[in-house]
Amino acid sequence: MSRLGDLFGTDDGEYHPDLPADPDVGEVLLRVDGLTKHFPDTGALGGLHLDRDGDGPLPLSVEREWVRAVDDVTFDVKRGETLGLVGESGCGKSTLARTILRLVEPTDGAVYFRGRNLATLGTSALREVRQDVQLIFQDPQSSLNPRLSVGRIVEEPMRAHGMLDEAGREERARDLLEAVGLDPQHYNRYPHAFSGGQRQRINLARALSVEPDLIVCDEPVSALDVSIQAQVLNTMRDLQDEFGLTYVFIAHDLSVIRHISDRVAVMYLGKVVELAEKEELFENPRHPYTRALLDSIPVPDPRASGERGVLAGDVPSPVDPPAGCRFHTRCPALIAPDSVDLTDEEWDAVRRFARAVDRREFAATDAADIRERYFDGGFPRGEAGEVVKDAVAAIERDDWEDARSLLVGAFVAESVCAREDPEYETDPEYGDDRHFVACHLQRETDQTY
Amino acid sequence: MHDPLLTVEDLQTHFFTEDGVVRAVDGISFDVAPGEIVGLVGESGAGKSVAVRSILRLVEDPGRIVGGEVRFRDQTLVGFEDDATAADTAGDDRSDDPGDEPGSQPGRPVPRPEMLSESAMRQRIRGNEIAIIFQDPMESLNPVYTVGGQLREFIELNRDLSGRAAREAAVEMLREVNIPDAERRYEDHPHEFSGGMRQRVLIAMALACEPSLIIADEPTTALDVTVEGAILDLVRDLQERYGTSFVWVTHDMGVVAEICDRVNVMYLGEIVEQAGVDELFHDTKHPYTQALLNSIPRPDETVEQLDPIAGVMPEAIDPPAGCRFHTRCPDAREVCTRRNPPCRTVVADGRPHRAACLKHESAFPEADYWASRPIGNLERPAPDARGDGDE
Amino acid sequence: MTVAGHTSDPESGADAGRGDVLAPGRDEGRTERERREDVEARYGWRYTLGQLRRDPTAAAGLVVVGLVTLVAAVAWVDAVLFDFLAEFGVFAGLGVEQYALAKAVWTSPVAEPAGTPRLLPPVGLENQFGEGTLAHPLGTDHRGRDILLRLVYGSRVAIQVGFVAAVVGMLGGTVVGAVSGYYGGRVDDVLMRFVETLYSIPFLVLVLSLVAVLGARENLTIIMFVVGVVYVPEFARLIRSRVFSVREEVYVEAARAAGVSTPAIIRRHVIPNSITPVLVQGTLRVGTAILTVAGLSFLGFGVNPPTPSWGRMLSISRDYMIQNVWFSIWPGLAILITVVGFNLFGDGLRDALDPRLKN
Repeated sequence: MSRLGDLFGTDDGEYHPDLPADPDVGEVLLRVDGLTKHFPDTGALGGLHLDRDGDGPLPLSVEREWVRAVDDVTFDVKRGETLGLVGESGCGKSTLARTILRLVEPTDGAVYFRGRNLATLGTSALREVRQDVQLIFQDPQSSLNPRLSVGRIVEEPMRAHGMLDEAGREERARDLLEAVGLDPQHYNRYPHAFSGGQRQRINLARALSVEPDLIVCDEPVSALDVSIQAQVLNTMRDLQDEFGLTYVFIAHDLSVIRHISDRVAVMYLGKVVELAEKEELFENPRHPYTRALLDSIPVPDPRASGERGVLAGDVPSPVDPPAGCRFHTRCPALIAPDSVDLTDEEWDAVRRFARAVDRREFAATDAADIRERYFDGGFPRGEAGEVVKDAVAAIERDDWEDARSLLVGAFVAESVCAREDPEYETDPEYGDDRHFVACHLQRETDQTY
Repeated sequence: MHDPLLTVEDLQTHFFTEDGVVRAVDGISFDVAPGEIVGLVGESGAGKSVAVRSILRLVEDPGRIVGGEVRFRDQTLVGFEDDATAADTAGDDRSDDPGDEPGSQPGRPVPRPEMLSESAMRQRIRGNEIAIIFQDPMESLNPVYTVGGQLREFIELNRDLSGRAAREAAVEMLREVNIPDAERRYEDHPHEFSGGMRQRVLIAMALACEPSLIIADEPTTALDVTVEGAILDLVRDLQERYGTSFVWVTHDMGVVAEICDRVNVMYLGEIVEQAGVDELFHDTKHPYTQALLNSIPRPDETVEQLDPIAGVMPEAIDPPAGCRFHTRCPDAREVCTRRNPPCRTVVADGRPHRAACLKHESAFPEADYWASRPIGNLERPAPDARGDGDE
Repeated sequence: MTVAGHTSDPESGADAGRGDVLAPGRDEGRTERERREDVEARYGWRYTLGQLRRDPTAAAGLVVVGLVTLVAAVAWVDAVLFDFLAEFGVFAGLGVEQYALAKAVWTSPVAEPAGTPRLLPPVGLENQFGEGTLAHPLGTDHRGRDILLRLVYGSRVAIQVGFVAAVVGMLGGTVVGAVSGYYGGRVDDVLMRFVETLYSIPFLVLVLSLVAVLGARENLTIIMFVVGVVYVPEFARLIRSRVFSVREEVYVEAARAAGVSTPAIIRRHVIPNSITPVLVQGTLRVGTAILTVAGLSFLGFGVNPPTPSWGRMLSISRDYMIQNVWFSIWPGLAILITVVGFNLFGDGLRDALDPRLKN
């Protein structure tokens, strides 16, 4: 039925029973609920894999792999606020933005905007909704059609939604150019005649033209020089006050996020790992990944540089993300499995050793050397110690794979971090909003989310 | 104090284009002591990349080094006979017919005899004594060959090693830059490496000949923060162990604070301030540096209102008369529109803190800055916002 | 108005505005003018024409194309106009001979003239003192018809055929290619398999069999369309590959996000930004189409006998090569010049529209 409705563009979308259709400031304007987007992995051979052990006539198998770009993401955005969404490249933040706007179809989950689920909306209803939700892009150069004049660009969304007549649109476009800090006389110019900062202002004017409630900004200032960045950020703030806008502000730069956001969500490998009010998140980060992220930003003050806990290793592939907490393969605070009975120091050493073997951080040497390097006071006792000794023996045989699987099997795979998806909510130290942390370290102190 | 490893003096690199001369680098001077990391910081268009390429004489047409000196130890990398003539011809050229063939103007600066030949630069200096790391690690590696193979080839080319020995040296270098499982990764192609890993490979390549100076042109700009942090740590560590000097080009004040010992701030082809990193941040002497610092949001504290620099950088082809920053400077006075101050010492203890701003009366007594009338840049609307209403 | 040097320049505000996007290093050497060129002009007709004028071969091509088109246009309105003018006594002052010339130039050379010697060589050769020289500057054909005149009228067919075929190819190709490229997936598969099927058949064989199947041996209109249709695949493939990259452009996504409908996106964003290579290819194809139809006429397809066409003239002249070689040289030259003209123009257009290729 919905399929048929979709075909004719009449499906009205479902409404959420508890969400207001016309929220006031502070009420939920956008709810992202379990949003998931998996892309088919289009490798060079289009999912064709070499499979020597397969039973088919050819040693090939056509197996679609899925890139889990966004996986079960949930958050609310309240009217009038700015939600910062921060993460490193490849964490899925841009995909999330596009999935919210349904520029890519979600695999699963719902996006309630003004209480209405955009994920099930028919094409024409969706087109109407796009009047209220606008997107601003990172690259101010390529987001403007070089063959249209600035006026045309700003008018395009109005034209698409049948707003005003020709003259009215032109007048409004000129007003908007002025509102974003450009000269209305530039109406007839082409995008090339503008600097990066000015082009981003044109983007703003275009987004504002249809009086949206929500603007999703995908790295809007990353391509700009620092001094221009500040100008554009200030303008965005002023516009928010003037037009009562709500922003979802995506960036990789934590300084920018700290400046512009009211609440901040941190993403890692397709998941939100922590979400809290700005002060709370920056002053009281609970997730080890957030901490690592905050620690690694270079602070523009030579006196402030403290020690940095560097994150080892690369982000795992989103095709086959780690089970449980996705950060557990790099987490410096991996929780010991219940079956392992070690002191904290011993566990630290074991964890460090397991990591080092996993990444082959050192060249193969003899047992004594390894012991000295990783186990200062000798190998741990008990069952854990036996596993470590076996692994060391495997390394001496130069069988790293064996050593790795021994260690991972005994210490990592058994950990709660690798078995369960963490979702906890805690009381904040700053502000009064809830503090969401996807880390099992919270399990003792806090109630499950 | 040691003798400086690298001395740049009044270096000028201009681009001779149809419409006239773009003074991309217009008389900059700085030096690099052994084992020191010197920052070159500025916004895009400031001329920092051209400046470091000029040191290695890697400037491409229509750009040309037209004057000044670059000395590396006792060798002259760049050295021209008569700077005055060069400046004159450059001046003339601006009024010339734009159609004039740029290669054929008269009075081209004459290289001094001790200036190294191009082949000497290639064999002895580039890659050997001075290595350079670029911003984009993907573009700097050939996607067709294995990472190890490229590293080995480089080592064979520049060191007296070949075959197995070169391979071992290459693996050793990969280990040195903390690439895990170096033996196996040696066989991988560049696309199998992450961005951070690729940048490590380039650092390994730069280090391969144990150069005394590495020029790094925005090497971490394309990387994520956690990766950037790891690379900065690696560089610090290598620098301590090898005693390598760095010239570090960046636009990121955070990186500067983190890694540099001394900093040169560039604006429109000129160095406007030169100081130790702590003095630069905590005893800022030039209004541009100050404005730059005020305009960046901080990760460690919440800044409610940013204070952007008014307007935008003027065109390098037509820089403002007088002090080049006066059009955007909150402290500009009438005298600033007339005089372009050179970079002079304003605080002399230790290594000098230099600034090119007339408001430092002790250094610029002749300007009489305080008697001059303020031009009130702050009241004017930003040129960015109201470009040209008179069309 | 000159107050303070750089600020008095009306452009300076905007130019200063561009300062902050300079990529480090690379852009520092670029000049104002270069930048201004990328700015407004790179897409305008005025800019394109300016570029063409700077390139002498392209300018020559443009002149040839313009002249031939003009001649064809004149031939188009000939008879009507001549009678119209004669009615008002415009030619009243002319002598008999001049009137005959004027009449010959202006009116259709289809009918066999009475009393004109057959196979007259052009003026300046054997017949310069002969009878009626002025009236037949390029001589006459085997039936005594003026060759210049027939060339002029032949240009009508040539230009018409060239343009119609190229336009049919461009339109068809653009629609097929744009739709195929923008939607991708199943749509793309179906359309491209069809296009490849057309592509896999040798060109002339395809044209001849289509013409034969349609029973249109002497129907010029159908032949023009057939040639056009045969051009569709190459245009479709050309624009499809452009569309593939253009549809990934952020401004297309921006338009989608703003709620612009798909046909409007294709019309306003995709096609204008992928059309350039098609225009160039189209210009080149006008030349090829002329050649093709001339070839078809030579083979006996196409224009009905009395109507002059260059191909047919060439075909007939074969039999008279010994008596008067000029009879075959002139139409051959006309084809050559026209086709070369279109090719030069097309190449120049490519350079003008895409300056990257040149440097």
